[in-house]
Order: sequence, then C-alpha cells, then structure tokens
Amino acid sequence: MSRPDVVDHDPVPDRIHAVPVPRPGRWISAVVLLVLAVMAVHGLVTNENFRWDVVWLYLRDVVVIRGVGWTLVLTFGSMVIAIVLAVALAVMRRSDNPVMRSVSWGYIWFFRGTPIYTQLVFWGLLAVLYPRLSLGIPFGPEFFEFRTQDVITAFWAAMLGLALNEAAYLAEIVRAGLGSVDTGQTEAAKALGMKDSKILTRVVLPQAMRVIVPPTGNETISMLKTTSLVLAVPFTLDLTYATGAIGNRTFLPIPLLIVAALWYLLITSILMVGQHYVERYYGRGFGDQSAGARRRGPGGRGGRRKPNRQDLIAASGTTKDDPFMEVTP
Amino acid sequence: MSTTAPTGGPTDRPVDLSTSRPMVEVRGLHKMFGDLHVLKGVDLEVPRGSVCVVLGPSGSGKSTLLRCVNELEEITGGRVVVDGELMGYREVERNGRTRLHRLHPRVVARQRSRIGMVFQRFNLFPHMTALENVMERRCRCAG
Repeated sequence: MSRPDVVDHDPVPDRIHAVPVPRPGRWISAVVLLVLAVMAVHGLVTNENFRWDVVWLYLRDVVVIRGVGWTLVLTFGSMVIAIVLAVALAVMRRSDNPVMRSVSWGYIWFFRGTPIYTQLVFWGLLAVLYPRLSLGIPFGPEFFEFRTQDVITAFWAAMLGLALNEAAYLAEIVRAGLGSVDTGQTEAAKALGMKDSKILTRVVLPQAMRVIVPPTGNETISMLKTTSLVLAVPFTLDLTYATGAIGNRTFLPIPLLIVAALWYLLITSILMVGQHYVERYYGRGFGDQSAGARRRGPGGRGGRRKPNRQDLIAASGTTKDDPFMEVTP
Repeated sequence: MSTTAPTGGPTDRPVDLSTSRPMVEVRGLHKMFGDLHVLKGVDLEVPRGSVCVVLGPSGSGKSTLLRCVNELEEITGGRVVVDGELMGYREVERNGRTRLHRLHPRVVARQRSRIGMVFQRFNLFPHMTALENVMERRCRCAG
C-alpha cells in the first residue's frame, strides 16, 4: 500500500491553487493591535519608576517565597475543605428532609450574603467572642475544654474563614452540576438496583463533574487572590502582606506590588494548565475535547499524552466511532 | 387475592425454572400522578419463560406500567409480585388486619437488581465504556 507522502505525482490531475480573497482589513487591524501591544510592553519595561532591578531582587527573596508557600497552603487547604463541605451542602439541598434542605439554604444564604472581609474579621475575633471552647453534651456536662486562642490560631482562622465562605459558593456550583445530570441516569441506576449513595458517587457525581470542574477551577484561581484578604484576621505571612511589608520598610511599594502580581500570575498560569487536564478527564464520554483526542488516536500528535482505555478500545478498530449513532432515533 | 401472599423473602436466590408460578403478577394496579389517574386497576400475569408484548397508543400507560413493576414509580394501589416476591412492600399481619410496610430502599434496590430494564432512551452511562456499562450490574449492584 502506498503512503501519500511516498507518491511523487499528484493524484488530483487538476488541483486548484486559487488566490484567496484579499482581506486588507485583517492586516490593518492586526498591525494596529500589534503596535499597541508592543508600545504597552515597551512602556512597561523601560519605565524607570517601576524599578525592575528591585523587582528582580525581591522576586527571589526568601520572605516572598515563603509568602508564596503560605498563600498556596491557604488556597488549596481552604479549597479542599470547601469542596467537601460544598458537596455535603449540595446533597443536603436536594434532600427529601426539610430540615436538611433549610439548614443548607440558611448556610448558603448567610455565607454568601456577608462580605468575606467581615467574616474573616469575625474569625479573627473568635477568641475574644468565645474565649473557651468545650466538648460535651449539648446543654449538659462538658468533657474537654480548650482556650480558643490555642486551637483557632490566626492561620486556622484564616483557613476556616476562607473555606466556609467558599463552600457556600461552591455548593451552588455543585447543585447546578447535580441538576445537570439527566434524571434518566438516576432511574437507570435505580433499575440496576444501586443504593442511593452509590447512585450519587458512581453515576451522578462523575457526570456532574463535567459541569462542576470549570467553575471550580475559576473559584480556585479567584481564591488564590482572595487569600490576600487574610490580613483581616490578621494573618501576616501570605504573599500580599509579606511583599507589602517589605515595600513599606524599603519605601518601594510599587516594585513590591509588581513582585506579588508576578507571583500571582505565575501560579494562576500553572493552575490554568492543571484545570485544562482535569476538564479533559471529566469531559470523557461527552464528545467535546476527548472526542477530538480519540479521532487522532493514541500516539497522534507525536504521542503527546498517555492514551486512556477508551482510546485504546477505539484504536483497536472493533467498535464504531460513535456507538450511539445507529440506535438513537 | 391469594391467601399465600408473599413477603419480602431472600432476593439473591437464582430464578427458579421448575415451578409454574408466574414470573410477573400484577393485581389491581392503580397509579395516580396527582389527580391524573393513569392506571385504573391493571391485572397482568406473565408466565415463566414467555415473551409478553404490551401494546397501546401513546400516553396509555405502557411505560408507567413497566416502571411500576420495577418500583421506579410508587404505586397508588394494588400489588406487584415478581417471581413470587411482593415488590416494594412487606405485608404485616396484626390484629387480623394486613398492613403494608414500605421496604427499606436498600431492599428495594436489591429487588430491582434482579429485574433487567431497557429504557425508552437507553440511559447508558456516558462516562463509562460500553463494556463497563454492561458489567455495571454484575460488579457493583449484585453484591
């Protein structure tokens, strides 16, 4: 069998090599935009006031790097807590039990309805408002007692404040995701004899993830920046506070703000890459990005990624490309 | 109504082909959606090993009947017995009076797992492969 690249004569005898329609507007607009972009970058780089030497110096400062670490810990820690809480809240919201439903509604109402800054201040004041915490029977005897300031440190106050606020937003995202899954899926799972918990974790949630993941990635990126508000607690080790403190001490606030901005940009860029892969994983079976990947087949585009099981099945050639085509009217 | 009304027995036993007991038995089945009376006393007996066709115009309740057999719809009245087992309820005799107790969702799930069903719109699980769709009942639900 001859491959197309081995053939030296054109199999199409009268191949068309047409001149494309001239589009001067495209060229002009592209040039104008490029010039503007170059001017913007040039103005940024050559402006002495930005003190790029100071930016470069403090970009690698140990206090700044530590600030990046704390910001990351706060971002991911609070997101993990928030996601777990949000799934619970969303399931409660769909429950048949009216008490569950209203508690979930009330939580979302309160934590979405008050500013995050105010909430963080209150979490910081927890030790003043409730000097001691104890474990025991409600309205009955107490077994353990803690001083609040020993348990809820500034770090945990910041983390909990961010997480509880975020959970309210994520709960609505998860609820929308669960609602997006066709009810027929639940029925089919029921007909198979699955328990309710299994229907949720094995059938509904995996499909809801397709809807849940993109806005959750968005929320993670947003959370990265929201951590800059933890000075309300006050928690003073995160990136914004650390760079701000250096800026005030050295009387160079602008370059230090740029340092913080560059770090936030870098982390956001990394998160965007991660989000792309998570989205592709949960998009499987819905013919969006994964369908394109399947058509290329494993090893297509130079074997850019490890082929998944579905790709291997498709590549074996024993199944049709779209198994639904033939049977769905 | 028969006197030997079956109660929620063991559900994991294999299908018994030796008896002449009907596979599916529906007696006086009523189903109402709010004020809409869809099934008005349906009686149906499907013998073991037979193929049965339910034929009727759109909206006559064919799907509803099937869904009632599988307990996907809570029935309003009557009895559904599959392979000698009352679906969805347990009959409890007290003071000479029979009352129905709703079965725990876990038990209902086990009853359903013994009944195969193909939906009008198939409802395949799109996030799984064809093979995983086929294996789902055997691996995850039977146990």
